[in-house]
Amino acid sequence: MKVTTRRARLLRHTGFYVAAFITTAFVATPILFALLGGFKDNQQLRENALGLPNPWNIENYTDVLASGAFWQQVFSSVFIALVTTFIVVICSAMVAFVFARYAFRGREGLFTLFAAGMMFPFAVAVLPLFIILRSFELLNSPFGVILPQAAFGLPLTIIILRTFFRSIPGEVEEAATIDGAGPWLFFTRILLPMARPVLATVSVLALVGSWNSFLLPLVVLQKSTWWTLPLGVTQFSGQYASDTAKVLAFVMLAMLPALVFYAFAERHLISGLTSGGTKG
Amino acid sequence: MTLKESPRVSPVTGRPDRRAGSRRRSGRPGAGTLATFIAPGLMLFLLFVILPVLFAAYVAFFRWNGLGGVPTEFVGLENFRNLVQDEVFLGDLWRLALIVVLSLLVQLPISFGLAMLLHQRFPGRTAFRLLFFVPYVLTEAVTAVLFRLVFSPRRGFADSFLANLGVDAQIGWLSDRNIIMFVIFGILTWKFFGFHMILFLAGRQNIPDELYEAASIDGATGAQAFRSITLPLMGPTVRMIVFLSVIGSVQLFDLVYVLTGGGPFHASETLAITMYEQGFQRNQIGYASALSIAMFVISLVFALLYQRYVLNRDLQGSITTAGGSRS
Amino acid sequence: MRNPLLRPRALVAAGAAAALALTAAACGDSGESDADITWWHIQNQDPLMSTWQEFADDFAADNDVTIDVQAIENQAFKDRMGTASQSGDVPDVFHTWGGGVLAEQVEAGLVQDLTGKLDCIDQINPIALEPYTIDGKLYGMPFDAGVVGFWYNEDLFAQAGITQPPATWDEFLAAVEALKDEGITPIALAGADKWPGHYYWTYLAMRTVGLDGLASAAEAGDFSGDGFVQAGQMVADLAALEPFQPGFESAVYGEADGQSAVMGEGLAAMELMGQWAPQAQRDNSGTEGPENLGFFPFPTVAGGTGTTTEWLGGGNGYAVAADAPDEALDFLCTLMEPENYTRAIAEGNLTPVAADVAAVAPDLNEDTQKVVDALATATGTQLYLDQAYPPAIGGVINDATEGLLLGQLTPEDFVAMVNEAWAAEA
Repeated sequence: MKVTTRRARLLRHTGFYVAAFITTAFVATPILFALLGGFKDNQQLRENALGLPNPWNIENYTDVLASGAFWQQVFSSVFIALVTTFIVVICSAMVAFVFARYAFRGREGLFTLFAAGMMFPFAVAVLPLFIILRSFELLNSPFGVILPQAAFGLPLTIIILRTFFRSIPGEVEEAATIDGAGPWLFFTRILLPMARPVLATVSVLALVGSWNSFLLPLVVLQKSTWWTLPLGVTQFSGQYASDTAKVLAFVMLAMLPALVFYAFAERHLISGLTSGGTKG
Repeated sequence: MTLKESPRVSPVTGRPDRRAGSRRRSGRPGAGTLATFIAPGLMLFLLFVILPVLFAAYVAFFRWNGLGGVPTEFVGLENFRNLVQDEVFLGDLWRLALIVVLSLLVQLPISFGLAMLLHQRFPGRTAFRLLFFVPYVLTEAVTAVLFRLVFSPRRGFADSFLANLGVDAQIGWLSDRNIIMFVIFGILTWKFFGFHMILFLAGRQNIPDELYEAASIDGATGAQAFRSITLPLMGPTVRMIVFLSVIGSVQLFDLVYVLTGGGPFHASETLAITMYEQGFQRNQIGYASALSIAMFVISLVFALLYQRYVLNRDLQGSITTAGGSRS
Repeated sequence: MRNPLLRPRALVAAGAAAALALTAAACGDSGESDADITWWHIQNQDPLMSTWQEFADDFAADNDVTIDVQAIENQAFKDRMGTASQSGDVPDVFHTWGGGVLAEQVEAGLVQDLTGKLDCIDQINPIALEPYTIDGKLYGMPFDAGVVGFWYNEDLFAQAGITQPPATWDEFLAAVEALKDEGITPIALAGADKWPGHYYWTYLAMRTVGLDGLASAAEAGDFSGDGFVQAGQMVADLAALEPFQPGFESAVYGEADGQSAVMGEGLAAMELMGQWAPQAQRDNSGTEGPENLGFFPFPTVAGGTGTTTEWLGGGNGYAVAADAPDEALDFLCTLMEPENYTRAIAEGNLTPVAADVAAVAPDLNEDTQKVVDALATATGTQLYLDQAYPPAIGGVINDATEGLLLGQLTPEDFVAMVNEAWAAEA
């Protein structure tokens, strides 16, 4: 690369920027359409779909923000995501710990069973899950969403955590054992603190998976009490079908939490995805 | 990851399992302790993952409207016989194949190209990387509502944009049976290229720079280095992304269901949408269960074959382990 | 560490207890006390949406209950009701059109028998109760009833030189051609919703084989007769003229660019729709609707037995869940209180089902009057097929009509699909 002249580099950079800006336009246009559309009224949307709002109209946004339904949905989404994450990370860590550090008969078989769970498309299970949840009386309850989501999150989380737990040298455990720590103490006091970064990663994956989940809440949560944001957005767009500007405002506000979260947890999200793919 | 391979090969590292746990240690915990650790996860998994799949396999042999009670009307293989003659189901398979082929031929090369681009050092590349990943973060269902408005006739963005360019094309973005799958593919690309790009980028960054330096010393041109270093060493990443992409396509639901509901007249229907319609809208739980089982078998057979013939060569160093989803 | 088993167990137990507590708390929030009423209706447009909300709020305040009101778009409502019926937990008060869909819900034990329980029932015209009466028992309370017919923009018809509304199918097709020649979109249709399309096939079948023919076909589960194939062929022929607005394939009824808005903005000359159409045109387009809106019955078919006084129609009503609190019944009667009902009729342009129409609606809106007149002179009515038949069959009819309209199915395919659905249901 030493032979590269200044001009060649300039040319190359121009090429980069052209490609990058085209892609940027491709990515950003729909989002800007929603953002700006929310500031228009329907008259403006019809006559001026492309331009800036004139006048800027904040009513759509304030209407949504003032509605109890929106905040209820934000709360449900957050609650369900947090509890799902908590359950899936705790359960997976315990299982992964045993799989990583102890030998016992049937271990590989069990591990294979869990790992095979990654092959089960969630959509396959949703219909029987619905009937099972019905007999547990978990329909219309947030736990009807949380427990299956957590269960489907186990395989990936276990695989990632097991890898990490295996990478911790045996000497650490031996030292702990000599100090009199049993497996439980070793797990909670030594292993989990050491695993903080990877726990953050799998937590982010579980959070995002739950946040985006649609099919399961769609069938489980018929009543609006526990509706999550994805359900709320689709319902809102049906209810206010003729008020396009307001729907755009709702869409924009529904996207906002994910964008903010991404801005803060980008590192964990990316490292989680590149280390394990995703499992919604 | 397969049922067969994993006992011998760790799916994570690809290395033969050294039985890390079989090392002798003092203070071995008893079976009870181990069981306590495993029990909560295993219970959850058996109840909400294994049981539903078994239950679907059972119900698939019945005619059942699902309204209370248990299935009683055993019909043998009838649901499966009807399934393989159901033009909607066969169409779903075609559309699945179309999406997969388009992803492989268009979406993945674009993501690959952008990953190579963003691997170069130039001012602002971090910002671009962050930005390109944004669509992946957005919820599919919300994305679909947005695109329904983007493509809405008359007041949507797409038509206005074309009209501004002087094209009065009246394209039926969502209403033309002939183009609907391509529109959906476009949206899928919007949504997922950033994800694939990030995976490619990670794969590229794992290739040591020394290799390129050595090649350059040997007088290799950039194109030669790309052909003989980048491509082969990116192989595992590529193969894994293909795997994720296919498995994700099999269960495509949220985006299409909200965008088109599978229409016009099934032109954009997916396996999961057909299952949902039959099961929840028409109360044909038995038939829908047969469809679920078909989806399961498709995923499983693909996973096993892919593992057997493609992945097992290079589990070593693959950037990701297994599975994945678009939803 | 004497007993390593102790602590993990204790922790798991604590975890389980915490989970249970959470569940309990969650159920406490969502679970219904006796005085909670959930209400799903499909009046998702103002003014009626606000009126309903107001009635609910007033009732809640007066009776010390809470009412969770959900205004759901028609198609979304049907989807959600399907899942809710499966879940065995339907809302306390929910919209119904009666018929086979209601019957299936009744059979599943989800719906309360209202016979003799509604104090206000004698205010309602007994004829309007018919679709909600199953095996002699009443399972729903109607608040509106009417017919489906062609609502047309008289100015656009005049522009195309059509002076008389078409009385026969041939005249109708000629009118479609004339409108097209004038550059006017003849018909607005919500293709994606499917149910508006099924009116065409149903009406054509009613005109070819007559109401009796339709009834006996449903009885036998056999739609193979020539009249049904002919009806399908006529739907296909109509579609071949390309009479619908651009993009109708993905249009829904009540969207900003949907069937109703297209009519409201005067962008299409007619739509085949029920009594709610004029109001919906205004609501969805945000305009005053076509200045001169006319109404004509579905034309007759040469050689067919059906007449123009036989109407496809139905009403809107509410059913009550089997486990709903008694307040739900009182609430239904609140809607029928003369003062409230009069207001709803006026604001929502409902077609009244009152036994004494003059008392609640002294001067009906012009459009509503047309529907009332049609009902008054009707010699027979047929409930919308997608509600009259069980969901599996209604779904197939809707779906197959869409196939016909998009040229994806032949009339023979159509008949075979419907027959198959009946056979599976038997």
